[in-house]
Amino acid sequence: MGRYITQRLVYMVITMFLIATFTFFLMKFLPGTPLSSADRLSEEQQAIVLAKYGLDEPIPVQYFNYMVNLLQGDMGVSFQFDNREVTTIILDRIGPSLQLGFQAMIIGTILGMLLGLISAIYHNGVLDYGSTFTAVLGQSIPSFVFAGILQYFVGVKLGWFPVALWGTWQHTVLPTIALAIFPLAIAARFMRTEMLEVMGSDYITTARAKGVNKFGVVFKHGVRNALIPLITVLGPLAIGLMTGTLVIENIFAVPGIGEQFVKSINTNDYPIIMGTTLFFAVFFILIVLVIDLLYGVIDPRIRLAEGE
Amino acid sequence: MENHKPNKDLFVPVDTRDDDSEKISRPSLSFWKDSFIRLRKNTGAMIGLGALIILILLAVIGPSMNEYDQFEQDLARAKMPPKVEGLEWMGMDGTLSTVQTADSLEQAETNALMRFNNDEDHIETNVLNDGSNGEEAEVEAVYDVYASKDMEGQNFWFGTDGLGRDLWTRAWEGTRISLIIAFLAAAIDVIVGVAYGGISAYYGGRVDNYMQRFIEILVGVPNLVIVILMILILDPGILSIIIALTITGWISMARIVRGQILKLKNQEFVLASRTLGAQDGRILRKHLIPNVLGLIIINTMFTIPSAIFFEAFLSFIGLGLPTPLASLGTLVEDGFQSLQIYPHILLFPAVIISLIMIAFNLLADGLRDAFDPKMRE
Amino acid sequence: MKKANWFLLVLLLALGMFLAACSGGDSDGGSEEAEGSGDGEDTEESSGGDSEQILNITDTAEIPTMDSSMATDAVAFQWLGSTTDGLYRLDLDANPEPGIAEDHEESEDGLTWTFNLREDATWSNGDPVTAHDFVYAWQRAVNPDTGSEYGPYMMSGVIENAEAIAAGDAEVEDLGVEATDDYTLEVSLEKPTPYFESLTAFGTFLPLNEEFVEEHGEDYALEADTLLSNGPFKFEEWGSEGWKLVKNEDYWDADNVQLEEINVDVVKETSAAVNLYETDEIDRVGLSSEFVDEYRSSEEFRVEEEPTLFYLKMNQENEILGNVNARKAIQKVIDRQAMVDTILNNGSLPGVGDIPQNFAMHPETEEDFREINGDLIETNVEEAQELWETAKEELDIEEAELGYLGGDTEVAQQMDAYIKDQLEQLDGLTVNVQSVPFQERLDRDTEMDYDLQNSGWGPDYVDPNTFLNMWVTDGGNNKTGYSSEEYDALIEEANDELALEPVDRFENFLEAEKLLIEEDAVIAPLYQRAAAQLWKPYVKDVGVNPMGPDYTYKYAHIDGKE
Repeated sequence: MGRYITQRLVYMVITMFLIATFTFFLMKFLPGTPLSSADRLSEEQQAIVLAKYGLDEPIPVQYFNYMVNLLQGDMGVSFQFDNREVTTIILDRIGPSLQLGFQAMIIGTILGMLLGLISAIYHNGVLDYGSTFTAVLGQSIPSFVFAGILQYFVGVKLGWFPVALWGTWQHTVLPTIALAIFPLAIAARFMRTEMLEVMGSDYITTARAKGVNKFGVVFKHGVRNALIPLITVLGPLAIGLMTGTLVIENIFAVPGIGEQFVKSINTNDYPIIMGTTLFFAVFFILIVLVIDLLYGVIDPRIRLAEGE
Repeated sequence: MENHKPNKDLFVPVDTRDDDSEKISRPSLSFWKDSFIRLRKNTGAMIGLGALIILILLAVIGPSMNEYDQFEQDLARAKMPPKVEGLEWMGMDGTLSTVQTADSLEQAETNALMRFNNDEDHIETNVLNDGSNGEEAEVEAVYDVYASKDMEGQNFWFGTDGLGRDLWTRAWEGTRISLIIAFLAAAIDVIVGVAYGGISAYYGGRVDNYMQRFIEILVGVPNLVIVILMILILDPGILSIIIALTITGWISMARIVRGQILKLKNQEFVLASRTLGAQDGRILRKHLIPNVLGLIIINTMFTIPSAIFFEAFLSFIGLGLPTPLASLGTLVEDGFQSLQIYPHILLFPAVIISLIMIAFNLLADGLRDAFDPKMRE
Repeated sequence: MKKANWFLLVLLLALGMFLAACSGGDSDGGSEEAEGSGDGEDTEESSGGDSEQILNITDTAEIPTMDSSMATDAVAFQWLGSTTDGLYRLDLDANPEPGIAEDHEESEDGLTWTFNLREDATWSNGDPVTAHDFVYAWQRAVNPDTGSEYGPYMMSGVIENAEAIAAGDAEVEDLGVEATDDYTLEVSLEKPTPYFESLTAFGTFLPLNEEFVEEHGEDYALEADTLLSNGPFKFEEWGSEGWKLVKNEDYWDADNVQLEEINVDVVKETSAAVNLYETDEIDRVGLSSEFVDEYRSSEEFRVEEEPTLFYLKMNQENEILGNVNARKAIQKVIDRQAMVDTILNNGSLPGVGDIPQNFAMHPETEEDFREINGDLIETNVEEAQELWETAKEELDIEEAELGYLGGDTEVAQQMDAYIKDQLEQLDGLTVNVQSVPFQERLDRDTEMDYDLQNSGWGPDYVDPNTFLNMWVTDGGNNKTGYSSEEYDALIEEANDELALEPVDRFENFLEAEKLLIEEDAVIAPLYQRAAAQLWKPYVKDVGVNPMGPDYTYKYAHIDGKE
């Protein structure tokens, strides 16, 4: 196990290095200038300002400087937020995004699993159709459309929750629901399929034959075995939420990292683009690692050494 | 599949060889046929397939079903509500309505009329609450937009957008482009993914090792970031969106194919074929790929709708197709702004996206069940 | 029925878990907010009460910087203007009124301006505001080491030696600004600058407390704690979700400031902001064209004209656009009225010249510049076609293809599609729309890598020169390849010999505009922007400004809010 983790960590470092390199050069191909008032400055003046940020150097030199600084934990300062450390900006904004992400993930998967369970238990019944329909619908509406509808009807018309902004837990309700709908749908459908399969296996029949009641069987034997494959989809789901936060944060005016990322790309704020990309990448790789480990823990049949 | 009975005269005795007795009549046919039969029994999948066919048909012929062009602008007919003769009861009667509240009935009425530029000839007002019970007065005004613009002879089935372009035409043109993007992206994913996964798994050993390391690195790349950067660097357009979508999209396909082939390649039938002297290419093509085909199809069924979703998402963050081209994504993004005021601009493209998603999902579910030997009765 | 009960139970259970998860998450995020606006559920009450002097508004972007030397955008200038007084500041009617300066004298040649500063103004840390603060701030802004974009731009050609210093050819100390004593500031100008008074209210010219700025070094103006204020309001909180300003009790004119608090949240989506307004969370909201239809009849609906002009820039290095008839055809073919009525729908005016309406007045008759010169462009598709045919003959072409760099406003998508459609009425013309982010458009403008470009310009000071000066030969912002000796002469004369002759100078500008638009058809004006907004009726006396900070909140108050 220890060796496996070490090996994975080594790969992770290599991956990070390659991602940093790749993004750095890709970013340099981004058209446009990082100066926000380039239309008001003469070319000489633009050159002076660019030199201040070290952007007058040849790209390989810039790359070298960036990597050296990165190794020392310095991601530079933002262009659009004058002088502000990239690290500070990311740390400032990661809180709301993570909170929304986790809430959506937890609520989405739990509710989804319940829906899936109901479907499986009442297979081909009204409840099955109902929850399958909900799940398919949840998966089929673009999240920003759903968010807009939620905001207008639940926020404005019904007035149950604040329509936008950030602060109290009430503010997180609508964006969480908007984000949770997708993991909910996926979890529900996955759970249903897996449960149906599990419920058809021999050991369930045995348990039933031994007189364990229906719900007992479901919870004691079924759910646990259905969970294993579910965990495999959690990783991609968590990453999918990243896409969701980008638009949801915008619609609900949540000061998160996603909308900041889009903005920094549009304003050619190179240090923030690099910083957020690397941050996303670390997050991403860690999730994949955790899922792989979890998989091994939950299902003893899987030996990690073998997978490699 | 040739089931017709040949003429008796054609019968010539065959010298039976030993291995003929080993031959399985209708080998893989039974699998496909069986799957197809089960698919046909699956109501959901059939509904999905039907819906999909209708949607594709509409995407092909829809734009030419009326006289409007997708780019034809006329600001005089901007933001017209949908009107379909015969479907007035569904609200598609070409009117807009508003409910105005005010302290007094007169004020509420004035407000209601003012909402539609005081064009009194074409406004019908209904008092919902005259305010006599202490509550605020409520007046509903229904405005016949088509009559007010002297366009009673015309019907915009889905209404028009902010530039007076016919939304029916644009919605189906958009569906067509979105589907093209999705299909092409999925096709490229399949080709690259199958080739990569197949080669990696089949040759195994060092090749597999290197190829897997490469994938492992790619998996760590937040594809969203790469997609966004790619789109900005390439000029925005259909091609660049497809490239951006596929640049990391093939990975999951490659992994699935690799896993499946790893499992298959040590099974007896492959060994048998190899012993009989089949070349690598033949084994891959004839034995391995057909056996993972089911999985590939299912995975593609999920890739296509997610590509459509992703295109919509890109439009929403401002990286969609260049105007005036329509795709479902750009249409939905365009309509999102007027969600509360002119919901019809958002409604139709959003419903089409949802229908495509549902249809593909139902079909994919059905296919998964159909291809799953465990589900055989 | 049993099934239904079971289902209900599960739902309840799920809801319970959901709420538990929610309240768990708020412990860290909620606590800091609690002191500010109370707990979410009773925000409505907390902002209500007996006309509390609290203004709640939104901005569409974060504050990029509060360092006046580095500020470049509307948000930064807005909040710099609310927290810092310059020599002059803008009053309710957007006219300069005394800020830190009590008055000033101009020398006869108009080259030396002496400002007498008030002695009762202090920074929020107790230090007095002195002439040295201005000297320091201006030197800092123009110093190439600072990396300021607006410093060199605003000062070059105005203040003595600024251009040379910005280029690194002169010492910072040579800048023509001097504190003759603690409360007297002497400014030497490069040439007479009639609009200099309005410049002194601009963000880049605000004073800085040297000791404080140097003490905080790189951290200066990054947080509420590392900021100083000498104006009506000061920062209390400033985070990524928004910021909160409170009245500055030490302000020299604190008696005239009624507002106790301004809360600003960042909301980028118009619909979200409208929904917040509808639920009484905020007191002002900007409307997009769709919402205008809905709210036009509301008493809270207001249209604010802005002196910002949008136009098509035409690159004369392009073979087709080098032809004046082709440019005139493009000017004439676009139906601007339908565009402002339907696409913008926010009170914007059709663009008919280079100077916006209600921006510059004749120095004697007080007549509006726009009124005097009238509509320099009239839409006429037939005439446009004729001009286009002539152009095609002159160029000996049958068909033409032009690239078009799209705009970056909220309505950009529709606007671009519309302009493409309008332009393609010209026979044989194909327009290829390229929607690019703002920063890329700026870059391609600098490189002159475009054919047609949807561009905008807002004034930096109240004088026609801010709009007309840019089109002189090789002007830093020209970038169209336009070069006319006649035009150059008119502008140069206005800024040299006629600098102290307001009437003749104005005449020169009138003539220059005609030349620019009517004869040489350098740009095709599109529209003059306006903002459609909803204001809660209880918000009173907020000044709206054509330049510098968008709004003056100093005199604002809340009146009659329940």
